[in-house]
Amino acid sequence: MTAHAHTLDPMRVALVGVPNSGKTALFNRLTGSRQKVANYAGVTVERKEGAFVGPHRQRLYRVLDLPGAYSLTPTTLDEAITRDFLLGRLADEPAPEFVVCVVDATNLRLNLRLVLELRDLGVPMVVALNMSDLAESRGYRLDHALLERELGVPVVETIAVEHGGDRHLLEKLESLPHPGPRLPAAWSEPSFEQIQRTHREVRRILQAAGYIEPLRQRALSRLDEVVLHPIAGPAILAAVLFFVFQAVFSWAAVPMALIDHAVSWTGGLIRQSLPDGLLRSLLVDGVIGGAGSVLVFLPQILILFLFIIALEDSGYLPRAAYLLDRLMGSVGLSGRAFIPLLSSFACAVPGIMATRTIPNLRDRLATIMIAPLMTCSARLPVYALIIAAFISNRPVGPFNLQGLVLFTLYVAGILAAMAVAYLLKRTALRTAYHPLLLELPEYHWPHVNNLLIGLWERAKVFVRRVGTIILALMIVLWFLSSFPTPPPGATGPPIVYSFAGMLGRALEHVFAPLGFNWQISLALVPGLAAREVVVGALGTVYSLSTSAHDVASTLAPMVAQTWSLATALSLLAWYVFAPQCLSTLVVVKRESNSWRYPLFMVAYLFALAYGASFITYRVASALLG
Amino acid sequence: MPPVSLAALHKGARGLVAAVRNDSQSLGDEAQSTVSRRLLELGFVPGESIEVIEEIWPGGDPMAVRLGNTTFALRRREASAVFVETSER
Amino acid sequence: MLEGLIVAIVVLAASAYAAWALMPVSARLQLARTVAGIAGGPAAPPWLGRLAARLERAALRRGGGQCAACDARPAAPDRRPPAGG
Repeated sequence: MTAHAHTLDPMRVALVGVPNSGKTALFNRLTGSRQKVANYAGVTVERKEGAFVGPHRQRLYRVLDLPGAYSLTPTTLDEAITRDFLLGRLADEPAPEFVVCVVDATNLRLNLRLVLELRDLGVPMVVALNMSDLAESRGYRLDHALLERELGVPVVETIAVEHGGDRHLLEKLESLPHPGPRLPAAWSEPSFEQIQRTHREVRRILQAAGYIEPLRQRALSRLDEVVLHPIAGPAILAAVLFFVFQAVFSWAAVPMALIDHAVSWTGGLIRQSLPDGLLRSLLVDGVIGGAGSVLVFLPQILILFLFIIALEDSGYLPRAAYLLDRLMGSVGLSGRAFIPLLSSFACAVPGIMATRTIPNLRDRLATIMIAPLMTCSARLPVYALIIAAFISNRPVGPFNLQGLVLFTLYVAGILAAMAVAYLLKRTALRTAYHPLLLELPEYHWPHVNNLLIGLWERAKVFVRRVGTIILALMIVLWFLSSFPTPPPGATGPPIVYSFAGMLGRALEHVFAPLGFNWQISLALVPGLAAREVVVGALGTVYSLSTSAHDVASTLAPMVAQTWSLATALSLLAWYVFAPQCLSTLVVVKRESNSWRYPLFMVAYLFALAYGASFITYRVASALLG
Repeated sequence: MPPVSLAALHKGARGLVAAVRNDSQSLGDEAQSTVSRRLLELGFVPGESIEVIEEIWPGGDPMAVRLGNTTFALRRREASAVFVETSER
Repeated sequence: MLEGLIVAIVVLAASAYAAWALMPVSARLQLARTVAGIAGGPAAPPWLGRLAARLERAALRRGGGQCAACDARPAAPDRRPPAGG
């Protein structure tokens, strides 16, 4: 063909595979940052599309990362989409021209059955033996040429997590002719007998290909014995969580101090170089005081994500789901709900989207409704600020008091979630029994590369958000807090007379029973857009209220001086339940297809937050005098 | 020895899978035959080696089983569909 | 005087950006299309057309994920891939 073959039709490729086969890592490896995420028409299933060119730049490929599926007979919405896409049954989606079936080379028995099912569809395909490096190092042996002959489709090795690990796949794709558009394939649900026949065929093929499967390494079996042990298991889980919360404070201390100094220094520099006036106030109180005080929390968020990513990568999470299944069952959820709920600790949005793996609609809705109670990482700056200001850094046994309080806050969220789930399952979202059948993938050392890339992405996202929406909101807040200017002869800081001051005073009536002063009441408003904005808003508001001249680093001590401990605790309690940020509400609406659920969510969370805050404040005031 | 239901086995039990029953009577509703089918698809087929490696507590739910070279967690109710020809005990 | 002007511009830009980012995707698309409508009119300057096109693309992009902690795209609309691949 001509040299510019990619001006012709790109080849439409679909990536299929069972969960945990490394399909998504391969997708990322192939497409780099050229990805587009949307939804399949009419359903709330994520559609990930990317593009890449072949190694000789001869051809453009458009690849779709289909949801993981164990078989073409679906049990979840995700799996139904995968099947329907492959069969060309989805509206507006032509059937794929080519399929790359990603297979975990260390788990061929499980994966090959799907390969045979796909092969029988007749779509041109290639099998990508992923994690082939891991397989080899663990002692798996296989004759690829024989496997290829037995299967009747090309087989290549891939190492999705390594740079260049996709080159065999790329070469193979390039060497095959463009299959052209296809008619939708025919398929009918196999009978039990047919499934068993397929398994026998898999066994025959593996034997013919000289497959050698080593026994599981003793160390890993031992590890599972401990991790899944009825007593040691939960103890380890608790220990891991404690450790994470500890680390979030202690490891972050130095980097946070560094950022703090940098921010203050910048503020000082501006104060010295500009004459007193509007512009200086905008920069110092709005930009530095506002956005700067949020930026300081970057290290803590990164440390939290470090653990979340590492735990996801390592294979530990499904085991935690196993341990918690009873607990979740007692409130009517399945252990399966644990993983989306855990993702919610990072941010409720992907956690809510992850509930798509829960087959039953009502289970899914219940999980979605309680996901926001899993303390999302945007609350972390708020917690961290208050804890740093009011809780001393004392050791308590082997733990640290600050870490302990943070842990308690997270646990409070979880307990609240369980209580709410219990109520929901008893009333509106009652369901029949739901089965648990969960694969516990093999342990992996977390891939350092993956980790670093993940953290870098998070850092970029965080800094970008601070530099855009948070900065914008802080500037608007600054404006509202500086105008109208106070009438001549007025006492008190100018902010009291501004729009913001008036709004704060009005809101204070609502929140006074909770011990919130007008500054806090005001800060809650922009906090609806993004939780951590509350910290920024407090930063701006307090900076405008005082004549003290050292911004970000004084927010904590200032708060410590002006708030009572009861108020601080009350604010913490509020934040455990706090009504949602807008993004979460939008996602809930998309996932549940109606406004009823997000509205209900706002209502119940507001009520819980108000109630908890009220009780905390009253009790704390009474006890602390 | 006749095959025993996986649900009746305890930690350390080993054997080979004998059959997966598609029995709505013992398993409940239509959801159950989906479970049986999924069990089959995942590899719970006659001849596959199986071992109970953990239980949350003896006789409790869920249990962790090793099927060939893969580990699964499931509850007794799902496990009741799988019948095992036990070997050592 | 200059100072006041600079501050005013910054505040307006920030407000416009914040409003844009917080609007739901459908509202943003509406706005983009309205601008496109004006750009198609008789007296429209050429840059308005380009602005309209950029607005329309930007409306579809995520910008809806306010939370600094995640990269999710909650506002991703249902997309139709171009037919014929």
